[in-house]
Amino acid sequence: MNENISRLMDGEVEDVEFERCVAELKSAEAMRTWMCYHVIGDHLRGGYGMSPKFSLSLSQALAAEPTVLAPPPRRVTQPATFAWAVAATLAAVTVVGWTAFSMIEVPPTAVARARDAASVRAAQVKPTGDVPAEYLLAHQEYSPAFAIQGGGPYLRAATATAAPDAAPSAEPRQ
Amino acid sequence: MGDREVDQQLVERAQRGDKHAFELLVLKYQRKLGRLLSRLVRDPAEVEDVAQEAFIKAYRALPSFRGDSAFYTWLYRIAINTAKNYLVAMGRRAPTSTSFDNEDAEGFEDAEQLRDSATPEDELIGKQIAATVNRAMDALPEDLRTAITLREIEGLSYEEIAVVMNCPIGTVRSRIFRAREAIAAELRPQLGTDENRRW
Amino acid sequence: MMHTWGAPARRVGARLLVVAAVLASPAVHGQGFAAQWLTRVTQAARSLNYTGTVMVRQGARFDTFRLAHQFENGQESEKLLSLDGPAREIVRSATEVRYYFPDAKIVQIEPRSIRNVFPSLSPEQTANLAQYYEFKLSPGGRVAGRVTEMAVFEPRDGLRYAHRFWADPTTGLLLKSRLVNEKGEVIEEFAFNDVTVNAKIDKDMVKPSWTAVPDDWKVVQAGPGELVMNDTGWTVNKLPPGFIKISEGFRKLAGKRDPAAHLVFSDGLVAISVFVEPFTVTQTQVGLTQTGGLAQYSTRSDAFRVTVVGEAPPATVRQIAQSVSRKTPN
Repeated sequence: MNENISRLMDGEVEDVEFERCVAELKSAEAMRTWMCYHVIGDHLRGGYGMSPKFSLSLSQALAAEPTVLAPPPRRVTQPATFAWAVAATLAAVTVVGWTAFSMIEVPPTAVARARDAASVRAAQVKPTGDVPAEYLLAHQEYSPAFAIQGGGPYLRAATATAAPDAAPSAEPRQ
Repeated sequence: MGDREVDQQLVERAQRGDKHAFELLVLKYQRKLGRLLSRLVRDPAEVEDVAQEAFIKAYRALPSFRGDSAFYTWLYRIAINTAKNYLVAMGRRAPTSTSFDNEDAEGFEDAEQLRDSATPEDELIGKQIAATVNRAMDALPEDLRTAITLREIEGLSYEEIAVVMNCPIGTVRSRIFRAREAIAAELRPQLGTDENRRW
Repeated sequence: MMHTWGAPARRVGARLLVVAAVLASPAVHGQGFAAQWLTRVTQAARSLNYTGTVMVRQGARFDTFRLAHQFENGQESEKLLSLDGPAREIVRSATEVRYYFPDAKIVQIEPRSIRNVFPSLSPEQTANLAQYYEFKLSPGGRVAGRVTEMAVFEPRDGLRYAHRFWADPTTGLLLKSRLVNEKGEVIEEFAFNDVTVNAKIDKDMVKPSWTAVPDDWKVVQAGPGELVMNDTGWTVNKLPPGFIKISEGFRKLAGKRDPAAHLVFSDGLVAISVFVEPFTVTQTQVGLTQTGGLAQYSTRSDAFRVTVVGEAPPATVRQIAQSVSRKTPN
């Protein structure tokens, strides 16, 4: 039985075996083995330990939750919209309070218009905002950090040119 | 079947009312989630509060999970948003702040050991677990240790490990299982069956 | 016992050797070594298949992304998916980078030719790297659960940031990096929270979530134009030591009508761009902006607007901007 648990957690089971393996997991002892095997893997990867209270507290909380019943999910191959369906259940909006890091409107000319000033201001010591997109985009291909971090520096561009908040939409694919 | 397909199947079972399937996913991801959250929320007790809230929110939001993304991507997203909302609610990390942490302050550090937990006893247990896993790993025969390392750390599939180790897939499956059992034999007494643990 | 298995096996064998080896103390290396180390790490980032969760911290704000990278048939594909904040999806292919902003229904497209910086470091740049940064290699602790080696580039003057890189010694993959200023403050940090190297990458993990851009979306062509190499007639009088010019020409900037002069300088590790354009009052204000480690300073010079951008302290960027002038004919 434990060998099945080992295979199941690695995803190395055929579809037909899946149901049986999960059914075997219902016993308390099997659940302990499932957790134990995962603890091993997590620690090999530099795991973070949760206290014993955590499992107990969470399982009690889960037990108190009304059982969720959802219609069979439609397997969508191409999402029509990129929806954040969970936003409905999350209380605060992710955008509120984080406007400082993400709210420059695309395209760059809109940025320029928004920040229009008739006169030249004196040199600032403190930064007044994000690096304007037109310079960032032209510069970044020369930046060594760009080369070394793979996709990392693109995050700067995405942060700087993120579009304004709008109504939440569906999930992404990955 | 694939690790991701297993998650997907478990999620679908949970969506059909099987809470136990969701618990399997919780057991699988709780530590990974804890480590992710510990980057944002320093106090381990708070990490667990946020983690619990995130899992409950994920459970409630299950009807809206359509399988377009991996379950853990979806779960991580919920967890991070929960953490950020928590920080904002606690009045921390004012978004307009441009202050930088000193280099000595913890950045995205990986703690080798369990951080200081709520009680000294918890910390001790955490360190003991890490020590036990390491010790048991060192005691394994080389082929078992290699197999479980390739699986858990390098993330190779059984098929890939079979190529690397030049042996049949059945042997890979057996070696990984025996490695886990050998370590589990040492670990189970520590994880215990006392009343403090559900499993 | 080592068999001749092939690449994956060599990696396993090498990894076991690395585990056995001890990097007990920081080592100081000769001038070619730093450049070699950077080259290796760059190649790894480009030529491996990997997935992971990445956290980027810039001062007090942080962003989390899922990342998938593939190298197949000599070409890179990559996708970044935001896990918090405004929804963002960045998809990189051989010829372009696309930024999807689904909440706002905008997709931004940038034609992109990957410029491979490190393998083309000239001997002069390599020498500058050694002269202006002290390079140290030492054990780096664990990042994303993996043992790492840490490479430190400590600047020898106050005009640069310190750079720290943590890489997986076996594969060379960069797992964490930091930019630190002279006060010891972390300006920017990028790190994997978890990573799977040599992951199996499915096509849909590196392709956009939309096979076609929906009709109600706005498409923005945002790339800078191609650089036309030329003597622009501009020069920098107060360039920090160790910086040499690596590119010069005219190009069109995104969203702007008039071509700008674009000069690029490098000290081997960091690049600094100088842009000169006609000054118009509808442009953004002059002064300083900053996005993570990247600082930008703009100033007016007669009828022109000079802008300097680079991964350098604001004071350095400002000093350069204020010393840009027309070349005097010899």
